[in-house]
Amino acid sequence: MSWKQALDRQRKKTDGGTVRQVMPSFAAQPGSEKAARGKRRRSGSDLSRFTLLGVLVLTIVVFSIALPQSFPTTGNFSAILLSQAVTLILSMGLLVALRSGDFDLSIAATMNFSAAILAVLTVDHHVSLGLAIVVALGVSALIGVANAVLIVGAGLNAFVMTLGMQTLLYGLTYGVTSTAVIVNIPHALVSFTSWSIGPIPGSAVYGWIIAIIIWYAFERLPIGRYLQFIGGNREAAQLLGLPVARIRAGAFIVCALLAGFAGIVLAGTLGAVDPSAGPQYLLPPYAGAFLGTVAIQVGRFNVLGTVIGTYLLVTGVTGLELAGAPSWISDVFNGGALIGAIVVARLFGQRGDS
Amino acid sequence: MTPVGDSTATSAHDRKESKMPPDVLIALDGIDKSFSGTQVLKNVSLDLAAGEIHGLIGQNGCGKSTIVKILSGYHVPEAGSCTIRGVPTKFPIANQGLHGLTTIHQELALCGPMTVAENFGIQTGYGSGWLSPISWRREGARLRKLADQVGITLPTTERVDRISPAERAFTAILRALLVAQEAGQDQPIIILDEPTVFLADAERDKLFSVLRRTANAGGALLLVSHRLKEVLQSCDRISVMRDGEIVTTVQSADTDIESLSQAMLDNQIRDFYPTREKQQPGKPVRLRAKNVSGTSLQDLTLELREGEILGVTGLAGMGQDELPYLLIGERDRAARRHLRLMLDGKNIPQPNAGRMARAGVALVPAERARDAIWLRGAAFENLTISDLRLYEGAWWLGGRRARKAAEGLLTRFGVRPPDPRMQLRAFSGGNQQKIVIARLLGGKPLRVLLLHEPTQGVDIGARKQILELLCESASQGVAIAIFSSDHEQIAAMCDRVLVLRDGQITGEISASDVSEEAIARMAQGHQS
Repeated sequence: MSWKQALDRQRKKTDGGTVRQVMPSFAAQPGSEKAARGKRRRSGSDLSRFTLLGVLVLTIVVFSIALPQSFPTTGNFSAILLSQAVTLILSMGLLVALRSGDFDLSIAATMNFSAAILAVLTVDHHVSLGLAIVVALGVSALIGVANAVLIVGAGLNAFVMTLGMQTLLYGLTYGVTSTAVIVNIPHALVSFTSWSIGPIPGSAVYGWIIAIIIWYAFERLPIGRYLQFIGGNREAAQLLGLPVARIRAGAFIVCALLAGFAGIVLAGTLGAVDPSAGPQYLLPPYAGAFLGTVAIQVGRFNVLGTVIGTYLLVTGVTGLELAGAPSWISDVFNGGALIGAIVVARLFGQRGDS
Repeated sequence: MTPVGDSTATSAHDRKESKMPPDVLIALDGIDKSFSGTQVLKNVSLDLAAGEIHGLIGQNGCGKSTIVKILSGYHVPEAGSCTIRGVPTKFPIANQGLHGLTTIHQELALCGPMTVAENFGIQTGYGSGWLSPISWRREGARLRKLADQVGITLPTTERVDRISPAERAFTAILRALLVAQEAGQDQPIIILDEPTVFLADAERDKLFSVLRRTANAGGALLLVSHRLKEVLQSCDRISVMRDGEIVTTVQSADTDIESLSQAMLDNQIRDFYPTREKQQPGKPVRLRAKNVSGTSLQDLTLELREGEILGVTGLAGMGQDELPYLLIGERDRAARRHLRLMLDGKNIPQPNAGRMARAGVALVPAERARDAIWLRGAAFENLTISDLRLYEGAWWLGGRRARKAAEGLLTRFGVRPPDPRMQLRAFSGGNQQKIVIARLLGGKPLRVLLLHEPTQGVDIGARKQILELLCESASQGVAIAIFSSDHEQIAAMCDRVLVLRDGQITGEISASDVSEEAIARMAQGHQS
């Protein structure tokens, strides 16, 4: 425990044993203001917000030393970036929903469905790639609209609603693909994602571009501030006259739309669409986003933290697998990291829930 | 909780406590309690004897609810002791059930979709072991036996949300009796916090007869209320609180409404309010609302004039807690359709918070943490959220400009410390409220400001500053309405007062006649 945490503990205890945070009475002692300044809770002004980044660097260093032959190689670097491109795009969409205080469990299913539609239209029905992409994205947006109408408009429980949507979409995915893996994805789509800049694969670049756009919207546009405030206190935002319903609905739609785009990237990257590929893509975005809340802007869903979290997870999994761990380790690692992230967030006294 | 009190207020232990009843079941002695530096309870001593109903009365924010929360084990006082059935007890008071001590809050803590019997036995495990099935016949019989003792009958198998408010209160009381019985305490201690608020007059009488029978059977009851009349009628002894102190404890037989209300109100407190020339009517109407309906209001019509401070009050639960939200078209979607709002003679179609905000109508909600602020957000984020365009560029919110502007606002509105990056939860209640008000007054020019209990949970220094800000805004022409059950504040601040009762405006008191006594008379006058 650092001295800072210890000090914090101490202060929490002064209220007769109950865990109430005690505010220093500034009005009473004007002289103490300067001394108190250092202790005040500001949104992420201390070094702990870089801890996660440190852990990422440390993980890389440790595996590089332990596995000098296989880990610190360009090939492995490319593979890591490539494998996370889809997850990164999914988690950026998820972040929009999380930031506004909602969540969406149907992202992976939406992604899978979008990829399936794209494949079926282009391979089986010989629809042009451009049109197929438009249809896939349009259907994804419609899924977002359905989520928004029922959750924001009709006030249904987001958990049950998106859980139902997820299962429904998995079913439809098997339906449109006739439960078969579709291969021979048009070459144009494959080359849309298969280019690279040196060791950096194109699909990873798409993920980064989306991350930059979301970062800009979150941190530099009013809409980001609105999303954040609605996520922070929906009732207050409503009474202040912010367009809460419209923004929440928009968040669901953007989330689904990005999931749809992730599906397109996935189809291009693999050159095939597997109707059963969806479920494994649900947890990593959540794990990355929640890990991200303990970094950079501590206590908030934020883009940089999520990017760090996502790469930390994949680095860990890749390193363990290269070291000879069996493949089931990735689920254990991702699930464990998600639980670890919310525990750490709670220990930090930050929100580790919703 | 409203922290009130000032060390200059002199406690008036003028009346000697009449003879101490013989069998004291619970006693608090010398209780002190402060919140963020503001003392809300000063040397409070209170005892409940077997067989008595003890009334605890006082204005809003005098510390009644803090006492209730200490008794229900929620707060830990800084000083003082508690003795339950002769045994000294540590704070926070734990194992209420074993002590046969139950607090019944206004909301009663019942589960609506469950039946009376299910609610009745929930605390005592339905008289059944973990693995043995519940015998509903036995539970029903236990319920009926207890109900018999206090002289009532309850529909045991009816859902709680389908029975009358009084029956709901009885369910909670019977459950409290059962808890005491199960703990082997034949003299239950029951704390009732404003139990009559939702009850009609006839139901209220019935409730008091139940309480009386409970007391006669050896129980001790504390009835927390701000309705003098019912306390006087139903209680044996009455303790009066003012500014965190119990100023007197008297036998009901030895007192009357007049002397109780005098003990409750403190004329010195008026010094804490800004002095303000009362406005006479005649200014143009700023906001006209018609067909305002809600759960406790029906087709209300209301006018708010330029530059005036209007007070809207009533007893708790009479609709003043609902009206400000209805007036900006929130909280009740169905009511919004009938609502007709005219602002400066112009009709506002389908009002909602967004449209009203753009038209210059703002609201300060009472439940600050729930309805007004983002506790984990920084001060500058909270301050600038409703007028972002005013403080930052449209395409690049650097935060720096907003922080600078926010720092200016914090200084101007006297928020301590004026640190725009500090999280809202680190500010005291009074400073949080100043931030809420600074957000509205510092932004776009306002036309109407609606305030719901504006100084609830605000320390006395900040309270005066906030009220001064309101006076200043009113003098600049902003139409202000204060919705509050703090009669004292309404009397001190307002030019005109509307009194609500049973969903209607029952009276209006004009500037020259506004006084706390007049408000209290009108609010309580037609009872029972």
